[in-house]
Amino acid sequence: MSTPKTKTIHTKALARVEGEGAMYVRIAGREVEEVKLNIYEPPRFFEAFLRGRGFTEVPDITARICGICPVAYQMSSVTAMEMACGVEVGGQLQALRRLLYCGEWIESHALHVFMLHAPDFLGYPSAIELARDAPDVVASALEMKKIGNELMTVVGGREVHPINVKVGGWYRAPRKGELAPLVPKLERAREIALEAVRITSGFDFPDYEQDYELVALDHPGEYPIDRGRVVSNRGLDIPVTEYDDHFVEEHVEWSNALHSRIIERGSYLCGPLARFALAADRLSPIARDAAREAGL
Amino acid sequence: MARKPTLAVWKFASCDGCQLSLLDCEDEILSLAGEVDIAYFLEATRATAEGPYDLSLVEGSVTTHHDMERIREVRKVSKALVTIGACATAGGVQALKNFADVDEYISAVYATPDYISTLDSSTPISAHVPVDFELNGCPINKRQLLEVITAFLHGRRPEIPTSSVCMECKRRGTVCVMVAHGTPCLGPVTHAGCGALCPSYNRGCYGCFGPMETPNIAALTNQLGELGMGEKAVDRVFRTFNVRPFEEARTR
Repeated sequence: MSTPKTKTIHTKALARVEGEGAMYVRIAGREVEEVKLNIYEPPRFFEAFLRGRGFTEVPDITARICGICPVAYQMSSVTAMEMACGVEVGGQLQALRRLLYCGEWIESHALHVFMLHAPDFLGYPSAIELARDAPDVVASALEMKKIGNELMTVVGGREVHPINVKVGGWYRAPRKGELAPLVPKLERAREIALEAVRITSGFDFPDYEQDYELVALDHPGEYPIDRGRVVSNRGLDIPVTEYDDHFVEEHVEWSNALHSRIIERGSYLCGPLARFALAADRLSPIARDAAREAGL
Repeated sequence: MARKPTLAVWKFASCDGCQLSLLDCEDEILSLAGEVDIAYFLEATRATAEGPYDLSLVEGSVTTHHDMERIREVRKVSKALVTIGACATAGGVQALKNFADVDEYISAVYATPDYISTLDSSTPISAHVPVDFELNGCPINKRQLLEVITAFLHGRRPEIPTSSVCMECKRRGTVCVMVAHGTPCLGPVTHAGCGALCPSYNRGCYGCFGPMETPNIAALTNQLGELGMGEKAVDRVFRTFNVRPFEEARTR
């Protein structure tokens, strides 16, 4: 039997992603033998310099981990500080936090779906070239993104590194007169989002499925965003405080990003696909219908 | 037709937020793309054109040997180089390591310190190459970013006010949180640009735009003490997102 021909693909800088990464793939014949994702983003040492800071300063600092998803880092750190203080933020204060998070999801997902990923599916270098052939699609995506940013600006103060998140609640609640003008805009954004589901469900996806362990948050009656237990489709069901008993973050030679694994079983998938797989029944009826029509 | 000017956007150690501000200009980004050739902007496009570039926007600070070399290469291929944000302009929040033992930092975060290659400091772009203009902010204000790009395309200096956040508070009619509520605030010494955001949300400014020109730090430090901030808390608030310029202003 002859040795299968080996080929390698080495992309030194991945485009249209958050942060900086390179990808190495080695293929023998028709079999992928090795994949290395190298996150070469320089280390910034947040875990180290947070030591000794005041606990009220932490959400402002952790926001700076990522300018595209600062709310994720603010919400996790503010919740951690509140757990340490034995404080639970509930009611409308909690609802406002979810609203801020939704703003981030709207703008960040519009960015990812249309400006970062759609050009790959449709064969364009960027959304700017895509806009020449499909101006309405890109214009609507930008409109949806803008509405997400406006929601973040009203609730959080600004879209990148919001300033309103405070340990124990908020610095100031948004006024009714600030929130009300958002309602028709969000209704318009919902129309665009439903159209986005129709457009993207027509993309040509590779016929490839992997047997993932899917991990997401789980809170009764809520689509998982901001709180709950950590669950998986293989029986994991733990409070956040037991995370370190079940997950390990390993350091590999070729990447500055730590690799997270479930101690007993290995790699896992989290993010939108895992949330959808584990909590589709808790989507709003409109979102559920859209998913069904898209063939999910 | 005249050649369109070329724009390049570069990233060093940073959070991506300042270059995202360009993509956050939802109403302007497509018309901007009509005015300039976006020749290098990895966050937005996989198409890359060779330099030289008419205008380079640089986000992020220098924290590795490799990036020390890379910023010199960027300077060589850029007619004008503008830094965007606190990382590129002042070293960013990661400059907190400049006060620490970096080896201790590495072993506090990474299981195998030998895999990590980093300098013992985080420095602004201007510590390595000449810079044509520095835009402050953590993050920058996207209106100011558009002003900077427009100004460079037309060969004029950007009109970016160098006054303090206090001026912006007065202009928008926000009641002074320090005078009226006794809330410690860095507004009197902080560079304008955010639109006096924090006071409009009932909190004190925390200095994310860095020091204004000729700030009176001593007077403010005294006032922060009067309002009950201890020495350590005062050190910390100045040592956050614009560590170096605030340190320089405090020792001046």
